[in-house]
Amino acid sequence: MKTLTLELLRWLAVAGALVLLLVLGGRDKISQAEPQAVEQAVVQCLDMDQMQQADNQMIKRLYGLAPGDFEGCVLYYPTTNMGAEELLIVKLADVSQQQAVAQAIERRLETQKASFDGYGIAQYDLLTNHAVTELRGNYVLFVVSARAEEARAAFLAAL
Amino acid sequence: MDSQERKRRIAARQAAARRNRVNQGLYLGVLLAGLLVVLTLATFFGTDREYSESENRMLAQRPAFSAAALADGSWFAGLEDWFADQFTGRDGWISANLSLRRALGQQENGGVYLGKDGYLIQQPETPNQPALDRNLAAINAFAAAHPDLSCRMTLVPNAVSILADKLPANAPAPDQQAQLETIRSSLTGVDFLDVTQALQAHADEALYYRTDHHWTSLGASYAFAAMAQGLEIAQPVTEYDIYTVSNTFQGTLASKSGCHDSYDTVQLYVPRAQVDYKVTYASSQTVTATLYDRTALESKDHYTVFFGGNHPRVDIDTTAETGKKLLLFKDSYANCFVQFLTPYYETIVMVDPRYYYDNIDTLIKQAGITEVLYLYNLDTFQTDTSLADVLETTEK
Amino acid sequence: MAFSTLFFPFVFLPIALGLYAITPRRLKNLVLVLESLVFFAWGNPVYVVLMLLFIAFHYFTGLELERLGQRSHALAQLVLVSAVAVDLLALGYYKYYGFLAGELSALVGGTGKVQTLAAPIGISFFTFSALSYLFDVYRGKTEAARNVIDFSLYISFFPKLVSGPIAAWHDMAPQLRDHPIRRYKLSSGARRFVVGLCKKVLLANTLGTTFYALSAMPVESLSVLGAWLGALSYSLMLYFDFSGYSDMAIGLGEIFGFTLPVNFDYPYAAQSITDFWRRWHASLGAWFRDYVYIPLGGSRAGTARTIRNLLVVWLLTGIWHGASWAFVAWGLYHGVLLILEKFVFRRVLEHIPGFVRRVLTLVLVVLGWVFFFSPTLGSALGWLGRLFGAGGAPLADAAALYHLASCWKVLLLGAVGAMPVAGLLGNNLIRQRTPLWRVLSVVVFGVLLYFCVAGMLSDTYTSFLYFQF
Repeated sequence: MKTLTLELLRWLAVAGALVLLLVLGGRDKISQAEPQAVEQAVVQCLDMDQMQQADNQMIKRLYGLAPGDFEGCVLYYPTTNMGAEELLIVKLADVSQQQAVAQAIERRLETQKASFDGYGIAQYDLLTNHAVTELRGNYVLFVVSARAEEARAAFLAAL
Repeated sequence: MDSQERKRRIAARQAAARRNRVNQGLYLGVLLAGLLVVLTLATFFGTDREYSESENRMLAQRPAFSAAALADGSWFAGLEDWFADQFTGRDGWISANLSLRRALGQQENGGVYLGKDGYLIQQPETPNQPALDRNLAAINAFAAAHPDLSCRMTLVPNAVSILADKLPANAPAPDQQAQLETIRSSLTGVDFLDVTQALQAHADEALYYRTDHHWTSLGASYAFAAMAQGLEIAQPVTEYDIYTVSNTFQGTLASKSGCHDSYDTVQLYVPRAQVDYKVTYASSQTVTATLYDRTALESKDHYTVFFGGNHPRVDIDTTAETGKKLLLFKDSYANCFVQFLTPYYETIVMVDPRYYYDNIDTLIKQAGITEVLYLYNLDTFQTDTSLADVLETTEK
Repeated sequence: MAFSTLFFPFVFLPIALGLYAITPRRLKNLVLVLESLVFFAWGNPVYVVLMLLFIAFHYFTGLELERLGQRSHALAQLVLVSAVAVDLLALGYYKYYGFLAGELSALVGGTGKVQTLAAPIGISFFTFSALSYLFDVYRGKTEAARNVIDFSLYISFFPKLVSGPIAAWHDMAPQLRDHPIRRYKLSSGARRFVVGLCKKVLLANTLGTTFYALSAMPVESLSVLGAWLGALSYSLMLYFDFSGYSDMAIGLGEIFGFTLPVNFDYPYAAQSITDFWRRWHASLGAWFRDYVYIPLGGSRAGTARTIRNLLVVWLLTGIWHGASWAFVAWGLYHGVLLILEKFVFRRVLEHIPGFVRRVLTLVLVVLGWVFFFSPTLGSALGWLGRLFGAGGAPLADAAALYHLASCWKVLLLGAVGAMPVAGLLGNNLIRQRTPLWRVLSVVVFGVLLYFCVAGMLSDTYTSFLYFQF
């Protein structure tokens, strides 16, 4: 092989490694953002009339999560029993908690779907087509809203 | 000539040594390979256990293969966990290891002291100071917000301080007496009922299980005797019908330490009083006429004979017409303590804040609560993270 | 996957060896490379891609270096420097970026916390192997690798992948072409593996319980006895852990027909610090000697240059072990000791009896380990103070007495095991000829193996941690 080819090949290897590292690095970034700041950013693009902020007991009740276990945990839940709009933002104390939170969200979503299935058509549609769960490093977002995608974008931008 | 002779002899000796090493290596090799093959095959083709009685946990099962699991490494990790958990003769290997470690001088395992007279004694966890401060503040605030309720607290010191004699020599242990004093002094509007002296006076009796982190009914009976006055119980019953329901109990500390040498006796203390009661489990809406759950004796954890374990909320309604209605914030130490309380209260509502998420003020109003008692063991109380959340719920 | 987890000797190794044995000779190295990649993939499968790119980069660089070496020295130098820069950047990113960025962010008033990716296992070791290759080829000491499979095996061979020994290219290259399995190598390799396993599982792990209990205590509450117990149990634990791992690696190498360099030779019996570094992690010492110290001029360019070279080497040795000021301090501590030994106390030391020299050396090494195990420089100094009763440390307290009672037997066993007498005993046992002795030696190994398996299994012992309080 020519020297030039060899030179090219070895830098190709370096480039490949860099791309891989960038992909891996972006996947599980640990964010230093304050939970309040993230909450602000997300709340601004949602219609908050349909939701009220939950206290720790309510979070425990609806999700089975103890807010004290996390660096931050905020929940807005429907103002009435007939609402489905919901917003949960968790800043994990440790990435190992991700699985447990994801499962809690999954359970909550299933419960909500079961309670609206068959009679709350609009709510059921929200829950099936406009529910977004986003796990990013030490942050978790769960949002049920017509503008869930905007919320997701705002969430990712705020991290 | 001479040197050639020597060289030959050396060469001959070396050859013999090499042969010898080879043979010895061969035996070893056969041994090693035999062990590997037998144990590995036995593990691979043996029936998998689901649950380990001695470790008191579910064992890892064969991981399901998928491309995603392979890519993130969880399949490899699952395979390793499964192999170790289902390894042939797992329990036997583990106790062999513990025997060796003890022979070499080890005096604790898995956060448990291997004490004298077969006592396994839990090393208390480091207190979670921020959570403790928050809980204490919430308790004080709750007392201030409910001046009509008489609030009391009892924290039961753990075996590590009461059974200090049974610890290995010089074993490090926290000064629980000082910790209790600190907590007591930071309470306002809450009566602290001390049981340490009562327990210390009987330290040579079976106040705690040898193999479990709980106290026994006997321990609870001494504590109750010491607390009766503080609870404003004028004439406490001192006669009990004592039933021994198990002699084969091996509790959580046996599991944690891996030391399965001794067994415990579980006893029920039924006060000789003419009181009937019904017990309602709020979460499952079941009603029974007993505090005890005999089916627990067929499971591993015989301590769950009391109420069948922990529940978010248990209501006990009795025929005692005393007008006293107690709200009990508790951990599992209270489970064997409540049997002493039934003759003196019309209603006892047990709330376990770790699992309870309803509004506490609503409960107080609906049940007509007149007294509040916090009953925990000191170790859990200092690490609890859920009591404040329950106390801070107010009417909406 | 560590060698001392149950899965390795019981599942991975038999399968790997079996596949290797039945493969036709032409394909044996390929199989071994694939097995090594599976081993490497165990912790983090995606990194296999990184490993392949790493191999490719060095393979091409080697070929290029060889071509250029015959024509243009300056160009070859440029290629070498760029490759070394890439390697050091990669190593730096994984091992030091978190530390440096953290320090920087703390300097400007930030949190000092920075998140980095988990490092690929053994990165320090295989990077140094690869660098050894590039240097050897650049200097014309050896030819560049033509066979990419052989070269991949050199980098990724699983016995030495995770923690050495760091085999230099010029030692390994001849073996890569031809490394037949031999019965005597199989048996001595298996024996060495078991010895290493015993060191790790029976001694290091047991000593570890004492050390970790003591190091979990606040430094200012240690008594003199406690501080010494901690330092001694750490010294022995580190030796048995690392040398046990090296023994396992060398034994595994032998099983597959390789001779890997010896890494440990009873370092705690050393007569001087210089001697200690010939006996402790010798493959790393040799690497720094061959590729840093000698190229810098070694000891042949005057006292001042020698001192500078020694300091450079020991600063790098410290940094190699990890990113913290305590490691830097530890490296420099040894550098300074070596300089003192070479230039100041040389005459004095010659007149001290050997036994005293050994004890002195041992004490100095143990003091050095305090830097090594302390998370920060401050806590290292605190611990050193407690060793000598600073800050009113009591001679002994209850906790120290408790741990002494728990660990003195193991410490004693370890102390004997770390001295050459252990090797003599072992070898004598193996060399005995009478059938009785042969049986006895197998029984001894059998019992040790039995307890190793028990120990490995017990490391996975966890009872249900949630409590029904």
